[in-house]
Amino acid sequence: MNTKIVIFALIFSAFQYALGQDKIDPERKKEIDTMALEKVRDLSKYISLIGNKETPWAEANRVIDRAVELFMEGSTISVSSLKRDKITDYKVREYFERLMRLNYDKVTIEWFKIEYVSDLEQQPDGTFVGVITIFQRFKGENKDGSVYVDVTKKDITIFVKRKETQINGIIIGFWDVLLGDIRVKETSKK
Amino acid sequence: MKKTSYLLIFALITTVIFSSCKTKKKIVDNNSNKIIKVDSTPVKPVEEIVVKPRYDKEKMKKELEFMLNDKQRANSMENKRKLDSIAALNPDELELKDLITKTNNNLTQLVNLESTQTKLNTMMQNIADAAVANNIELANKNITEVLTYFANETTPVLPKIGQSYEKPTTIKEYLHLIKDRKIYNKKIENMVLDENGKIKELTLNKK
Repeated sequence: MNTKIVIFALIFSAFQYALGQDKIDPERKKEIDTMALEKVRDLSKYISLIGNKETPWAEANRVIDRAVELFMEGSTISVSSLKRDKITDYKVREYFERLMRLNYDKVTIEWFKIEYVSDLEQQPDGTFVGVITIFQRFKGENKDGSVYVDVTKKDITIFVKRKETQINGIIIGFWDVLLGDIRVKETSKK
Repeated sequence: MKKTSYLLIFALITTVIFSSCKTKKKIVDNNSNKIIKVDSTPVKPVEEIVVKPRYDKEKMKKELEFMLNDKQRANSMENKRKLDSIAALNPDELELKDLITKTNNNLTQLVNLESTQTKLNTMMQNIADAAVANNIELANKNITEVLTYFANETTPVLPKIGQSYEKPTTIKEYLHLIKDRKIYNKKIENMVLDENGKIKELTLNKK
């Protein structure tokens, strides 16, 4: 009996050791966390630029292309409004094109409190998955003085995959950060 | 009386002549009594004059080869000083002269790279500053200026955070990203030039 326990403990330890071997270095993990946060901040800048009526049309279209590249294929972005109870999901490009065409004279969108709600964790296939939460303040103004303001809490799923590419004949390994669905959690007046 | 005087004068003259002979004899006698010492010790042969060489050929060659292969820009100023002191010795060997020329060209290129790197960092910061000021026209003008340093618009840019590479992009896209972010928070880590002196690869890392 004791021999069986010892053998089991040894096998269990070996298994744990083998799992530990695939675990990423803490410094590398910190770097990946930073990369993912940076991508979300990039998205916030793009959304501000696309929604801003003062952004030239050519610039806005260029930015839409850059913003779409941040996402995984098939991702959707949820939209809510204080005027409606329903939350609508749009495909990423459709969301940005609608954002550019919003019927306000002036649009200001600001993201704040960008932080991890669920840490990036490595899946069996090596991909890291996590969730970052953001707060968005949206303000739409018209020349007639009417103003719409809301604050929405949204969750963004993050995927980080290890990939390789060739640059000038040399293989470079890099971390590809892609955003998944953006879901509305709650909407309030301010 | 006259006889006596003549006798006295004769005696006087004789005395003078006699005493002068005695003095000469004495001088002659003194010289003939001198002992000449002969040095009997053996004569030393003339020492072989060894001409010390101006420089150690092998050591100089090793130093030059090390500097030639040293790609670290941080060492370029120090290596330039070392090279100048080696060149001042003016070695005769063709191989050494050739190494000096190659090392000099290499170091000059490294020093120029350092200067280009500093300039580019400043220009990229200018793009961010123009964007912060909402001067998109100026930001785009700065982008066009930076692109002239590169082989083409699709020159690969490898952004890094610490030891980890982010997804590579092109220089044109990266410069527009600086404009969109309104921040340039990286520094140039490495530049690879093509045969025309244009940048064909750029690596950036977080400041």
